Amino acid sequence: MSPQILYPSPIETAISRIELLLSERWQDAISRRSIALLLLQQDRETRSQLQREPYFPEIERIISETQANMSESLTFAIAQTRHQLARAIEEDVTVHLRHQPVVKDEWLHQLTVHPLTGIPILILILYFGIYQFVGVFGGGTLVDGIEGFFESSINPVVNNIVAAIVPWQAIRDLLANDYGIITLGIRYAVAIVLPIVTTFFLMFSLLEDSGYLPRLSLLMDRAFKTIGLSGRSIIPLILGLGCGTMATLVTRTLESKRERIIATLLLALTIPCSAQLGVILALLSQEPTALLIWSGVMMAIFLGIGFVAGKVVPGEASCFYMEIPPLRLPSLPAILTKTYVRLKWYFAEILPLFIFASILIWVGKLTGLFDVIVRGLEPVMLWLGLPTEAAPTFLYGFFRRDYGAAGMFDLHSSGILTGQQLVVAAVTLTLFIPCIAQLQFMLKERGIKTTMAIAIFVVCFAFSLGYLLNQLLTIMEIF
Amino acid sequence: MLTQGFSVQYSPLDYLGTKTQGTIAAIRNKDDKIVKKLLAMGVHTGMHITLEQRFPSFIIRVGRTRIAIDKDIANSIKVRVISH
Repeated sequence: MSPQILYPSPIETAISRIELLLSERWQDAISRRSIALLLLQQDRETRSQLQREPYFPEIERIISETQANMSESLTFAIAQTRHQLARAIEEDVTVHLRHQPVVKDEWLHQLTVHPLTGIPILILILYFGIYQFVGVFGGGTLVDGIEGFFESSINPVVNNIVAAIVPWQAIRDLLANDYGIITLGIRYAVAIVLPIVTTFFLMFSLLEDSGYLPRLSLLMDRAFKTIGLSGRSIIPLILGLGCGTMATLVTRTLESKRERIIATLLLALTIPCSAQLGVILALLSQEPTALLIWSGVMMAIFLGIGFVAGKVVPGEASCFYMEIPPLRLPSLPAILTKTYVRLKWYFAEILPLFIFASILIWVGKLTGLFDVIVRGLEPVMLWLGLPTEAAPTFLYGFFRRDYGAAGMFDLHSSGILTGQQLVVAAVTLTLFIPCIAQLQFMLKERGIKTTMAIAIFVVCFAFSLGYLLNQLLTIMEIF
Repeated sequence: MLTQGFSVQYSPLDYLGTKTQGTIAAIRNKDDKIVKKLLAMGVHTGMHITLEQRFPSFIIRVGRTRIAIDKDIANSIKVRVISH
């Protein structure tokens, strides 16, 4: 049978004393010895289960007495004893080869973690993996192809069929035409979001399975400490370039509450999601200066807000530790499965929201509520130096950030937005409040108070910065 | 060479140079959670430790595990140096 672990004698004494105190009802569930050990390690769950028992103060007394007799913490002593046994068993059963083969991927590991080679590699991976593959290929080539197919082959057919069978204009608009469920909701989901999110998840699974992500974290840790985060946060932030909603969910892997709040804020304010990124990159790449200004401004805001948040948000400074697994050649089936599962989750979550957004827009237009809001936004647009036609874009941007960006795309195609306006609109929309789904997940993860604070800050900041940027660009006469 | 007197027996990991090897003499951090995490990753007193890199993060090898840690955590690992 497996050898029983023998803990240092003060602990063994404490275990038998606690065992005696524990009542009968514990006999069936788990052994009394385990309960006693959990109590000695200050396990919160076990403590709360036993707190009301009459003998609990006695247990407390035994624990503190035992602790007083030991030089190190009880948890430490218990873990140490276990580990020693595990090592002894391992020594027993493993055979050591005289010449340990040199790990052949060692040089690759060294290249990826050494600052002189690691940082250029990091930049190359982000440039080719994220920008070229997701942005240019997914967000450009694939989106253009599928979107073009929708515009030329599906939408006209749907419009005609709906016009033929449905006699009421209102219902026709619900299903088809400019903002219909099929022609807008499904088209955005399939033509814009699907290709971008698929390419992003593919790349992310590839990086994840190769073991590169922990190396990315350790390279970034020092830099991230200046914005109140740790290297660990790079994972949700990069994921945020794919989908802010999913990234907000992933912030729960961060160590401290403070780090989670800062990461959530940065995700809501500065990190554009892939749908948005794809459209903005496609839009701005025709104007290199505009693209340069947009990325410069976004970087500056990311660093600036991060730095201030690191000073303002209360709590302990974050710590960083992470196991570095060996680099592996990822297996294709595993990557495809992961991508598939993520996509399935994503679409189960967002397709209903897309349809819901289409319906909301339909209701809003039908009741005239949207006209009121749009008219309210029009002065704000003028304030930002934008044409009043941009107002609906911001309103729809609230339903999904990419709706807004995609709406901007339409405006630019019809020649309404010029260079400077394009930059101001792109910056303001990127900063603007995240989509409904992300807001919902912020509520779930951070609670109402933090979410409201972040949301109000984001809206005020987005519009004020848009205003300042417009003034600045006008003075500098860049365009 | 004969040396006399005595040298410092153990020092915090963040004081040591790259490629230093040693034995973990103690793990001390004011935050008990960090100590627990290190234990869970197999960083225990008595284990052999190698410091592989200091910048941008500390990289240590303990047993067959490789771990990245920041300066603060590195400081909480006290090492008895075997070779530089």
